Amino acid sequence: MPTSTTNSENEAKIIGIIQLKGGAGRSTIATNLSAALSQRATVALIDCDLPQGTSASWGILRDENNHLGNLSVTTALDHQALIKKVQALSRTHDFIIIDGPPRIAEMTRAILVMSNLCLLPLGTSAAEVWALSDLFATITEAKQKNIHIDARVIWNRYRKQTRSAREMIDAVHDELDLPQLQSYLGFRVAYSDVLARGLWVGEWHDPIAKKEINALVTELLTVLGINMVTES
Amino acid sequence: MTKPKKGKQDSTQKISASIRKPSLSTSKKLDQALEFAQRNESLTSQSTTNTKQEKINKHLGAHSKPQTIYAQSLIPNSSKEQAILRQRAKLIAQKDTDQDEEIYEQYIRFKLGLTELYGIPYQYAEKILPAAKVTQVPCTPPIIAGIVNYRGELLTVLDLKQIFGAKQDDNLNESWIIIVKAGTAKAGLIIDEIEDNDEFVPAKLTSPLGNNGYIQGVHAGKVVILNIGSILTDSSLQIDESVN
Ligand SMILES: Nc1ncnc2c1ncn2[C@@H]1O[C@H](COP(=O)(O)OP(=O)(O)OP(=O)(O)O)[C@@H](O)[C@H]1O
Ligand SMILES: [Mg+2]
Repeated sequence: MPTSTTNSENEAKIIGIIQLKGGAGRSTIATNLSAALSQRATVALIDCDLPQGTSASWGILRDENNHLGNLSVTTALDHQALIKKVQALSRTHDFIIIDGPPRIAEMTRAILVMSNLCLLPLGTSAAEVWALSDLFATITEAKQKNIHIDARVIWNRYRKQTRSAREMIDAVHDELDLPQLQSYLGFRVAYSDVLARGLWVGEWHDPIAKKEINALVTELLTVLGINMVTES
Repeated sequence: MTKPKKGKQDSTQKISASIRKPSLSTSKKLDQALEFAQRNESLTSQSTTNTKQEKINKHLGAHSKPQTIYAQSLIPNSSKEQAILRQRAKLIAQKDTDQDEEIYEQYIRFKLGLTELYGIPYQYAEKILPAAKVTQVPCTPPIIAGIVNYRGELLTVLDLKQIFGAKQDDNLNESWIIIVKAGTAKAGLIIDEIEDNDEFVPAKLTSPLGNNGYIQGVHAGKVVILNIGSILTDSSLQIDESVN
């Protein structure tokens, strides 16, 4: 078992995952990221996409297989419940991962502001770019109110070679002024395989998918300014 | 079935959340979050205005789900909630597909006329605009709905219903133009309701009855995937002449 790195002086780093277009990969990223981080830190995953509850269901499967380890999975129905839970969990966890709902509501606005880093998953489809432009308006609104928001696009189902992928990236540059993470998730069947089994790709037989998530974790830690400490 | 590999983690490596840059404390951030969430100007304005963007989003499924009240409990707390989630977990497990990295292609699915479903592969789709922007051009064949000014470029807009003989849905009060391109050819296509994003397997498309060359094939027995390349290069559609 990994040792618990309960964080007494420092507060949890909060990573929110939001996108208004359903199916863009929020739950895929939230679950893989939570499980990957929980290999080395204490993590709380909060599923705010109810009643669907994909991440919460994944958590139940993971619990049934006794894989939870340093990870706790919970749900929040509205922004007030979310804020309360984050307040409590941030004292006892290193990371809080939030799977957001697919709509602009109080919840999404709260997640945007409370997160140290917001990931905006984007597939290579125009509809997702358009869905992001609503979110972009909210981000702009927050910035006008001097609220610091760090929101970055993460490409999902990314295919390097295809024309549409490149064009969508151009579209994001043209239409939305949002930074993008370098790491991405390819279109890999492993991601649906593990979501269905309560696993993450590090526990599955697709080394490329595992590499993608590990690269994402490394990049996020850098963005968040977190040092990896090797203890003896 | 599941053979989890032993995680690489052990006590030798852990993350220390030492923070380089100073940042707001969590409770300050949470206060800010609560205030921003509840000062929701866009929410109130959104319910009254109904922008194009929202309509597109609605078409594409980014609409809000019905509010259902659930116990705000940590799972697994309530056995009822747990049972529901367990059922959902089973559903996810069933969604487990035989997707293959190589063979899927993404497309945008839309309705033409009353019932017919069509698809345009994303690689040909550039932009969706409200059809209100079409300027009709007199003395052109019915297949040409008009022209549209798209980023300073005048593009022909084709009425696909004329090509496929789809029945007009008289209750529909607005349509969309999807700007498509293949090579250097570009045009707008009038479409009715945008349904969703989807994926198809090119190798598994079935051939349509009475193929007029404008169809790549039929997906899942019901979605006609258009052959944008042949539509745009067909001289009988007189794209160039109508623009000039
Ligand atoms: N990179 C990927 N490769 C292959 N399949 C993927 C990938 N990302 C997501 N999927 C699959 O697409 C589906 C939708 O993904 P996911 O549930 O993560 O999206 P979501 O944004 O949480 O959607 P929802 O609105 O349903 O909550 C799932 O079946 C998932 O397994
Ligand atoms: Mg989800």
